[in-house]
Amino acid sequence: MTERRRHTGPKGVGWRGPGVTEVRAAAGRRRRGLRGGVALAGVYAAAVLGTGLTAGHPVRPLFDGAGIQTPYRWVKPPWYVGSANVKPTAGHTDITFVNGVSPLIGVNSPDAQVIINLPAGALPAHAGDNVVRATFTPVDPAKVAKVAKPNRADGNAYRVDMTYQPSGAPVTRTVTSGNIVMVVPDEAAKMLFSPDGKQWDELPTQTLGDPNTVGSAFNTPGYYLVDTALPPFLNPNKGSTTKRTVGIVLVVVALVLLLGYVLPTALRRSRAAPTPTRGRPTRTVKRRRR
Amino acid sequence: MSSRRADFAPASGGAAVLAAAVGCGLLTARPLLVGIGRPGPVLGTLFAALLAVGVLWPAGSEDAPRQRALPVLALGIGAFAVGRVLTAGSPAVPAATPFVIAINSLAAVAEEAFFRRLVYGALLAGGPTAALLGSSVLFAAVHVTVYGAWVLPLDLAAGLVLGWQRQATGSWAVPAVTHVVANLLVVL
Repeated sequence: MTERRRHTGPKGVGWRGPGVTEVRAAAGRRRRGLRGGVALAGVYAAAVLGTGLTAGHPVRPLFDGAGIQTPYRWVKPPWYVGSANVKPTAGHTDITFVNGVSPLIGVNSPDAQVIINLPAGALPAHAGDNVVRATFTPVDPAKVAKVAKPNRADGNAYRVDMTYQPSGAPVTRTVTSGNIVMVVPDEAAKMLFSPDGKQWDELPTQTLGDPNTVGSAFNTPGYYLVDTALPPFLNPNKGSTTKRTVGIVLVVVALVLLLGYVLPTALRRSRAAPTPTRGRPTRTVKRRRR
Repeated sequence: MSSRRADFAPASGGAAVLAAAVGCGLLTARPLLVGIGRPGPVLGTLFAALLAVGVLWPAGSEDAPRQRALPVLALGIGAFAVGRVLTAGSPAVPAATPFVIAINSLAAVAEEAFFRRLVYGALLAGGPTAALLGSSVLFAAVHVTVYGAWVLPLDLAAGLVLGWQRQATGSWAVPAVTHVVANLLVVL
């Protein structure tokens, strides 16, 4: 930069500050530099578009958080959760009748991924029984009916059982509707219900606050599942082994060393090497004097 | 020419290249590292260490800024905003909890301190073009084990945009801000 200033300054009077020519040149350089940036931004947009069109699955524009935090508890965790998963367990809550009437109550699975709210009197009375045991059992969605394509299961399925205690007779239906809320890992589409896990029926579904929390009316114990329209986030390294990752690590490290050591060293050597004379030494000497 | 070339030589020389190699190796080995413990703490520690090394590493001679920071920042953020619009319906990401926002911002700043300061500086021995291309190629390469080979063109282009910001402003702060915004655009 300083060299350029010296050359553009008026001869014989020293440098007095940027002249019109220099200001224009600097502005021109800035414009050209920005043009380069615009071109690279265009390349990036084209890469995003091209990847989206050819990769066969949605892409992330730039993101490094995958797999960092997935608090959802999976019966069978997907590849990107791995060892971070805490498996959910089955659990139950006893609902005790008060004066022969079931109370206003909210019960949930131990992982709090399913919540059922019941208004007072929602559960029918049963002779000789004073308690209803609500049991939540998380189920691998692969072990129950498949979700209609193109959707896929969003998190676990849950089997909700309600039995009178101490008789053990099942509660088949509520007297008045309660509601069921499910928290899922991906953006939810519909809540599904099945009495036996063999075929799903869609339930009228409401999104509650965020796309990962949905609710519907609760009338019947059985299987509940939420589906999503999002395509599965397939493991890009499926089938890969530790060996493959180690191989890529070595390639990357070698690349750094190549770019950092070998290339600059080669460049320096090529510059430092004397120009081949081929029997005309005088010409070489003249060039060096210049 | 020779004096100009000397400006590109990093002050920290070969040690910086070694540090760059170790950092790139660890970033590439992420799928193996997260198997050691819970991914959050493991990656948090990795990015914190990367940030510390990237920021504290003795800086080589910086190339002079050619552009004002603001237009360069705006251009970079604009590019990633367009990318976000083009990738509407991208795979689900964790909900934007304070933890997710914090860890993603940490990852962005750490990667920029590492790639646009340390790696770029280490590669300046080969000239600014080599530093720009080299740091971008390495930036893309370290993501392959995490996202697969399909991420190469996308992250190479992203690395070029961020590297150009570094080159144009002479500072890694502008690409760091851009990278943070780019990550937040995905999460939010």
